[in-house]
Amino acid sequence: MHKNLVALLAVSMIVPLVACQKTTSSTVDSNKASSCDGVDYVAQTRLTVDYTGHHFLEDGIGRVNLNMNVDGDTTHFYDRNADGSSNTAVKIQSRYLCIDTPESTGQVQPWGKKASHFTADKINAAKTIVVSSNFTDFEHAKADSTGSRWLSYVWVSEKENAPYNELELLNLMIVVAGWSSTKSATDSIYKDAFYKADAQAQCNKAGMFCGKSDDTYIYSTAVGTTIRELVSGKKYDSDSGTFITYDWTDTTHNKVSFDCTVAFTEGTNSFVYDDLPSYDDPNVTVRYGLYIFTGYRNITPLYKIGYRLNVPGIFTSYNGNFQLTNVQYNALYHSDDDITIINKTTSEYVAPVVTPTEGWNDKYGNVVVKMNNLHGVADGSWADKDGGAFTVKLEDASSNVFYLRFAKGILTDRSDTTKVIDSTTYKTYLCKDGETYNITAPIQKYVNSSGNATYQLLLCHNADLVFNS
Amino acid sequence: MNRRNINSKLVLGLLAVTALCACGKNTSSQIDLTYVNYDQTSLGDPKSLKADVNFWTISGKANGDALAVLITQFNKEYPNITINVTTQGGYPDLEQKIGDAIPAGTTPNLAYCYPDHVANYLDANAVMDVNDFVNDPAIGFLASDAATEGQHEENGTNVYGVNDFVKQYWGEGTAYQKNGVYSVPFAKSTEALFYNKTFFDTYSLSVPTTWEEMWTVCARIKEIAPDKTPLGYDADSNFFISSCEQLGIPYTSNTGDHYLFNNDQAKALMTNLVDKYNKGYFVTKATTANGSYASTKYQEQSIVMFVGSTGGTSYAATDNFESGVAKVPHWADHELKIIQQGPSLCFFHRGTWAQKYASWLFYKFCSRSINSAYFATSSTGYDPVRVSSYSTEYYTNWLADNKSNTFGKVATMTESLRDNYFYSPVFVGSSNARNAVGEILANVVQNNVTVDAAFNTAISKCVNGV
Repeated sequence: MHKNLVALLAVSMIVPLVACQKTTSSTVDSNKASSCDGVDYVAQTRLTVDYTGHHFLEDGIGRVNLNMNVDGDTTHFYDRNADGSSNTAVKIQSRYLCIDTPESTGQVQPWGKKASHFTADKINAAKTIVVSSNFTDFEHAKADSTGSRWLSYVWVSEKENAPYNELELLNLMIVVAGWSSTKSATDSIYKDAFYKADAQAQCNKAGMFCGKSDDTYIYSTAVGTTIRELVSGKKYDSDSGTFITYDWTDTTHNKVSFDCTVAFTEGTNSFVYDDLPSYDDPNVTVRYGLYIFTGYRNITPLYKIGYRLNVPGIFTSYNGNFQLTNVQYNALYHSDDDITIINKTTSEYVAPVVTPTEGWNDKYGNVVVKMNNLHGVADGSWADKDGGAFTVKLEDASSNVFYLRFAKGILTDRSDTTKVIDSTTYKTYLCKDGETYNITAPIQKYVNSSGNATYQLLLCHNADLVFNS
Repeated sequence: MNRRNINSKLVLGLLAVTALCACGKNTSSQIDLTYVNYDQTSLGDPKSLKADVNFWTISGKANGDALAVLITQFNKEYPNITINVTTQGGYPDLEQKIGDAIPAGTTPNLAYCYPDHVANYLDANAVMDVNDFVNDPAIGFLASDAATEGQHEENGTNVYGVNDFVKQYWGEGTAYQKNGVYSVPFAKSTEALFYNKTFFDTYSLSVPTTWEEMWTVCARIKEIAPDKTPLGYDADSNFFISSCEQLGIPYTSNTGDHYLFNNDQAKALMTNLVDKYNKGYFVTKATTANGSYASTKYQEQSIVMFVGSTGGTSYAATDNFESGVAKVPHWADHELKIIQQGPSLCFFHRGTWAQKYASWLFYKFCSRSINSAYFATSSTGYDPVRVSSYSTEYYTNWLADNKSNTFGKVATMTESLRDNYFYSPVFVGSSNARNAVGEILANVVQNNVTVDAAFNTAISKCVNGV
């Protein structure tokens, strides 16, 4: 056996030489260069078409102005008038091509905030922003599979009126910085640059590939609190024995858990509530509500109306409305981050009856309420420019105003439930003189990009709108 | 295996590793690929094995979180093995990146895969034969582990290991041009018919079980609601390939002339589909503006039913109406054949033996009946890969809890499909065939080319590797 081993070991010394006969050191270096070396792919990737005089939606390329930074791979722009001002009638919600950064809004993932800040910093610093499609000739821009966002390359320069061939591709800069892996780039006209830049970023452990934890993400156990404290922005201070003002959405401490009861479902998402003593009068019980966004997950306990749960998650504000994200449930391998079922009793939810005046208040945010005897007003109702959703202005008998929001496809004709009431027919259907209806729905706050807040009911099920006639 | 053989194999393994390290490049024709059995004498108890495993997966928070839970549990048993997960975009991105990594010698140890991709990796001699792991005397599927890993009764006998996997799921990894098992099932999905039950009930429509019945139902829906599209089909290629499989129409072969679909029967099938498309009976993802998924239109009620992946059940769940789930129709007088989808895993030659053993141990852990059930129920709608998973207390409780929602309906339906699954031949270029046939319908109905011309284009793309 020893002889055989020695012979084999001897061969093992030779094999590398034989195996490498045709592998020159330059070949090895070349391989290394293709992954780890600092090739400036951004500098090598340039726009080859002039954007001047073109508009993105019509031509697939055009200069834009910033409307709003959303997250690492989505920015909202306005089309640009000839004088450089924003054409606010044409909003371009750009979903960046070839990348997919970690989430930082609806859901929150490690590195999401850093990716979001990177993109926002580059956009905010840019004096010239151009958006283009994955085109080979001027053509109409393409929407993503949801139909509501435009697939875009975003080109930036800190120079005012930068010529097209000096602009830098922000999508690629994000990959180079390691804030996204290259995704869905097999048909990209910049495919090679994206894949090579990605390999280089991973090899060099850039950004989220650094092998460490994100120091801005909370990995520790959630802080126990109540819905009341969360939505009221208060926290009990044991030193003073009083409640102090506290921003629970602050990302340094927004991982929270609380007890609640399931009230309502909306697709795979839920509304929960808790009845607790009022801050002002401990003898008065107030209903506090919260929206739980599951990110298209099937989280069984959240479908069971009446279940009493303890729910950990990340507390955020989305367009001014509070919500809990990053919720999970594990009946097999339970951890501190999982929902705990406190009580499996199911029961029908009884919605408090609220008037429009009462409802126009943070107090009822995300509480599922019932509003009675409202009628629709055509003047002041509107349909979204894209996506098919619409909002109806409601008034009670005293002309107090509220709003009712409909997702596309949720409302059907009461005489034929297979006939959808859409953004072209809703006024005729909902805004008839003398016709009123009762609605059971959660109240949500909506703050627009100008900072103006409105309150609206969000219809979750067609059957929750009941005509009185 | 005696000690002498083990030592000899260890040295052969050393040869392979030495050659690989010396070259810095995994041109595997230059290295010995002989498998080395796990040697407990020198390496110790597998539970104390120390290794870092580089695992490339695809994006997706829900599935990523479920995987992270399994890694945490795995580390309780194997504390010295680190699983480094890197998400690499979607499946086409993953294939591209691995294709780039093979010549660069930077492949991971373990990766999500589809068989079409593995055919290419195998052609470059980059992936391992899983049978070596399966049969390893120390870390293979051992009878002594059956109670922990999963077993079920068949004809009065307890079966475990490979025989406890859903037969077609495991079989997929054996269907390559080279003998062996080059991929293993991780989580599987298939297609389902999701339908607006509220609409069907209102108009007393029967859920179609054959395509012939489907066209009749579609015609009726067009009469009832001319503004609606009766049917959406997300995957153009699946529609064509599954139909070929059911009707006995040659599609591809992993031997000889690979691309067989340019034939009169296939053209007759496509002509039939074009006719139904032109009547407004259905749309597909490729024939829809922006490549919209049918599930979006279904939720918005502009489509009455759609065929989509059960792996995307989350996107079919809606409160807008009652949603029903049924088997995808089959062609009359032909048995239902339905394509299986969902991620498999493949193991790469690159890496130390410790990394390879650790990769296998991780897979073995994830594929335990209880863990496969866990991943399936915690993801966006996959099925467990083990037969025994379906009878675990955990899974049956989950099903009872979800019986009335879309996830539960899908799980109940797919459990009855085990004998209907098939996988198409895999070879270098099989992914080109899949892509090319998926473009035929759109090419005819959108670009106004003839069926003959569209088939010629598709064949040309396959032959030229476009």
